[in-house]
Amino acid sequence: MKADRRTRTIGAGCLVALLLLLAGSAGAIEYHLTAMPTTLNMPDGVGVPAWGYAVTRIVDSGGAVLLDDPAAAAKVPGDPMVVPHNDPTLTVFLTNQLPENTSIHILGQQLTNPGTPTFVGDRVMSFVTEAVAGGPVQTYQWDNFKPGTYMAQSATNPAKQVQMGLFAAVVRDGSASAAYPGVIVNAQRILVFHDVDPEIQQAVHDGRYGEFPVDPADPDNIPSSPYRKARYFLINGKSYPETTLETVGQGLSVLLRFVNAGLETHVPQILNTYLTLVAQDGIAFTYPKERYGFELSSAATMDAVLEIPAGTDPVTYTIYDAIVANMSNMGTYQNGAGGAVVKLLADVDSDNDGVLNSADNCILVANPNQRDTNGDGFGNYCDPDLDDSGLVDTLDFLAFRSAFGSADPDADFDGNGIVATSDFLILRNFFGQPPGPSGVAP
Amino acid sequence: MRPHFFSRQTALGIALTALLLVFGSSGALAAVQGIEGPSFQLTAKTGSISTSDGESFLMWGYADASASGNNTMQYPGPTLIVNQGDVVTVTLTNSLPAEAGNTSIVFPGQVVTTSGGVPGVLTQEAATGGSVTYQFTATHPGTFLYRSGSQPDLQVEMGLVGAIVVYPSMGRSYAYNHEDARFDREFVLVITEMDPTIHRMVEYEEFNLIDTSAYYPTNWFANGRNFPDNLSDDFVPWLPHQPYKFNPRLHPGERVLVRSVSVGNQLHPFHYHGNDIEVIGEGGRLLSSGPGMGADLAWQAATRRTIPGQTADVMWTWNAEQLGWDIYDHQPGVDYPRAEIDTTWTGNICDNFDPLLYEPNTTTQLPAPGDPDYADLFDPFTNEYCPDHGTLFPVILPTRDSLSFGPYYAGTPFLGGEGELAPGDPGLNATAGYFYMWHSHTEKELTSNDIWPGGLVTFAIVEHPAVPLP
Repeated sequence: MKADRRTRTIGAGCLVALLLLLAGSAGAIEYHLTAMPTTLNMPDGVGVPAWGYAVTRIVDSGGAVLLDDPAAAAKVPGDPMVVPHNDPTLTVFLTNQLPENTSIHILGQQLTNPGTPTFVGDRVMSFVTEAVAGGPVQTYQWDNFKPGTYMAQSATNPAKQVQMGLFAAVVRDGSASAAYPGVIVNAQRILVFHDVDPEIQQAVHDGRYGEFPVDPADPDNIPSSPYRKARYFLINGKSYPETTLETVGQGLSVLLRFVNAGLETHVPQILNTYLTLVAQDGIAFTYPKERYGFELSSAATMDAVLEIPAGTDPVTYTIYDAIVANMSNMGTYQNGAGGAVVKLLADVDSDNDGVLNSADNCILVANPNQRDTNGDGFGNYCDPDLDDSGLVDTLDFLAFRSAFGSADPDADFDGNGIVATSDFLILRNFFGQPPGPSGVAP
Repeated sequence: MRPHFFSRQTALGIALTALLLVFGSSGALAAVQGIEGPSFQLTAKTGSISTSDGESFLMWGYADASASGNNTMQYPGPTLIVNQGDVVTVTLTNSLPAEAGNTSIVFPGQVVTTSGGVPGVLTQEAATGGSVTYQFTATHPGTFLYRSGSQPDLQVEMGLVGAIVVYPSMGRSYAYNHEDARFDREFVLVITEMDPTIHRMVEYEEFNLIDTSAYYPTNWFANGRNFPDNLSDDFVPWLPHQPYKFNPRLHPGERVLVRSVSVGNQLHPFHYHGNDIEVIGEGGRLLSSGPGMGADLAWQAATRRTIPGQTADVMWTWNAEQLGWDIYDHQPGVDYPRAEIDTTWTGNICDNFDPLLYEPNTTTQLPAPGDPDYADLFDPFTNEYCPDHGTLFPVILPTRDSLSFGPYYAGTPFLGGEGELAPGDPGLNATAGYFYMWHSHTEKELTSNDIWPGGLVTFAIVEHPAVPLP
């Protein structure tokens, strides 16, 4: 759309006052975002043009730089922003590398410096002050950020920009120990559901958005939001079988923070267990609800606790959209299903060294520091296979013997600085057997 | 109209004698249609269903392959009926055409172990011609669902869906183990949709043309039937693959449980005429603030939106409360012996209620729901709302020839009454029941492939207490 855009800027005096106000609130966590074009790569080989947020820099409340990556790539959804429980202020510095103006707001949170909406003619285009395309960094600040799960999204032409991918989860725990009063968990995972109409996104990319018709032979095919038909259904920006969730341990309470960034209702559902729903839209339930699934409307969030019992075998939980028409990639399948399906592996830690088996370079030998001096994926504690033959044999013994008494790190299995009798005992235990087992060695 | 001095009950009694011959008589309240567990043998196979626009569509569905089953594909699949605590086993055999690929069943809300089969995305699957067995313990009572977990976007649409009823240990008059969940009658309502294009593509074996992400349903079903097919009886021979009706018939004052099971892809605002509903359970859980608290978090509404993959337990009662006139056309000052309806009943209708206590011009308020005296407002046998007993119908009915009749008008405004119908009137309401439409409030779903009326509509019928119901 190329209508004349009349930006109602706030007066220079007010601007200075605002900058002073922001400068005076040191200690807030800072997220530096860049909105820029990217591509969503679908499992069926299609690349869908998208717009996303890149997180280029994070500075914590104490001024420490947690991340500094000016070349960071844009993601859809943007990486989650985490507001510390002990610091209620979030500051976002937004750089705009899109072909048009953009802005950001967080649903359910009050922006401290909303500034002035942009109008096109008499029609509002943004809800807050915009970051001009290719222009200076725009600062947004939220004082008193309410604990819970929320979604940041574009506040400019949301019907277009949000579906292009300009959104990210924003979370804040209520305290050091609890996500919400009484909701004490050991781990948290964020699941952003989202749906994509590739034709509209391609039209935005091509500058055809809203034009009529895109295909003269098909007058119904208007590439704008009222005619939207989602064809891909994603969780955290991926479609099955490419969806992933970071593995969790067992014997834990895991908080699953669900966000629907899509334009359609989704119904997350888990198999083989129940969830305890504890909060909706960041507001804790008076009475938590036990459910195996729930309705998640557009822009809604839901927090659910998954109790994972302790066991001896890994358990995989499957979460998917109970609107099962959403389980394909534009009508195709890779590996039997597609779309809004994700697996959560609840892994065991057999040696109780704090490293789950799937990531442990010695599954059956406790080695919390994961020391692996030859870098072969087997931790030294379980790797007397000095010649990397796959078997601890006489050749390894000969190599060990020649290193005996030295500081050869590879033969120093226990990492005490010297190749000694203690290391020999480890080699003897493995003699005639392969190294490992390891969850990470190839 | 007949003059009022006729004994309405005597006339009704004659009519009912005839009705008994038609309907037969049964002492027990109807159980839900389905098959009893705890072991089930299901086969996934093909069949064709009829839609009320006159079309026929190829389906994939489940058949009861047990020794007592008819091994006929049905839509929806057999309702699996078990008791709380049962160890339930479901053996699934895949008799679908090879193009359908593997198939499987997921049981949301159950902790399932599997044996046999081949690995799939959501669960173990049965390959073409193969079998797989699922097992779970029905630890919680309530209403659940089952459906395909293999290419569910296609296989669920094709009809591989069904309901599960787990009766609580308190017995089969309860949905959950609490008095709040007691019911007099229960009905299973399985809601699905259909995109006919997909079924045609499967029928023509044009599998590469199927794109479920372009899903666009134009047909909607209650228990696998469109309106008005869902009014026909269970297992009518002309609907061999759609055995379950959805046509609740009930007596005034009965607590009716609707086990709403949404196994398709759309949300539907299902609307209950006649009275508000009370949602007491969702997803196989009583809406309760804590153990033993009953359905204290139940909520009332006129409409509940169904959510794909979810179930709800909905209570509904109809008793003519505060209607302002006597639905039986009882005359003031006349005694109506209850024995004229049921010979085992004693006394006269509403003799439990003293209207003098509640004269309209006194300050005495009628007891409200929850008040211990509230039950006194209703006849303990017929559930008639006694403050209106003997209150005359407030309208002078026009003559027959001044009226145009709907097919379900019985020629009388009175429940179980008699009246004249115009010559040629279909007279589809021989017992003079009260028809209340239950339907999707998304009005476009009141169609079968663009033909109105059809789709997701049915009638609940309130019947005179003397009308025998199965």
